[in-house]
Amino acid sequence: MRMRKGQVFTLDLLISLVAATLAIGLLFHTMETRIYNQKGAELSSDLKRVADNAGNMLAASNQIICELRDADSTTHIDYLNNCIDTTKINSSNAKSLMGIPDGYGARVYFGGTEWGDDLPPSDIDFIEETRTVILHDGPVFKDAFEAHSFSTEDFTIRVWKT
Amino acid sequence: MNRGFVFSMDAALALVAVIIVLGTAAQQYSPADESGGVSEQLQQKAYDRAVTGNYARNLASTPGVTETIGQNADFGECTVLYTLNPNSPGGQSAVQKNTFCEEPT
Repeated sequence: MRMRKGQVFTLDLLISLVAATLAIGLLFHTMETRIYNQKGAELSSDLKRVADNAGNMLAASNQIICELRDADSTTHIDYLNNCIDTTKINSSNAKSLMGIPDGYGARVYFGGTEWGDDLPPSDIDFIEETRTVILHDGPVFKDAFEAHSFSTEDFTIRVWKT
Repeated sequence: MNRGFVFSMDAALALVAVIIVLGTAAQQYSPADESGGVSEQLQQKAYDRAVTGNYARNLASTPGVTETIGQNADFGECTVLYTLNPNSPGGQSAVQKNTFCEEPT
């Protein structure tokens, strides 16, 4: 396009500058959204890691799960994964036995019972981990184990950042 | 345009704008793959069901326990549990196979 005297920009250049400015604005907006989502995902994955670990401890830690004993009631045979010994875990030691670190709140729900910290305000993000377990009072003896007279229960752990 | 000029400044700017817009749009609307996390959860559930089902003898033949992934489900996870019957004389009949499957709800 031939420029006239005193003309600094052509109309084409102005239009393309407007388009470029809009495009850069859109890029910044997307980057900001992405960073915000990334921060949310980081918090979520942090909570998930704590909740997963708590679930695994609940289902497999010898300090929580049932001991399988021989019929003579003293000989240790093994530990039973996914069998919670309700004489080992209680409202005061549940958080530490499940390895929930300081700085995190937790509340557990199973068979109509609730233990743990007071629930946070509704705008605080949380994660729930549910494990299917058997609840048993004390060690399981071999004859009772072979009778299979157990019922399964869902054990839910809710975790949030304090 | 001067001699030797391939693109004008206007065209170059417009090209940059188009590249930025298309790149941004492609990033914004790219589908996020979340099936990995769900699959992990289902695997966990199926495993828990198999272990506790074995203790309670709530094995796959019992109503409410799924042995296969439904045809309408996109995907699912199964845990296979082999139990040995100590009273059986041996061979294939001594081993019982039970499958516990979970689908996304």
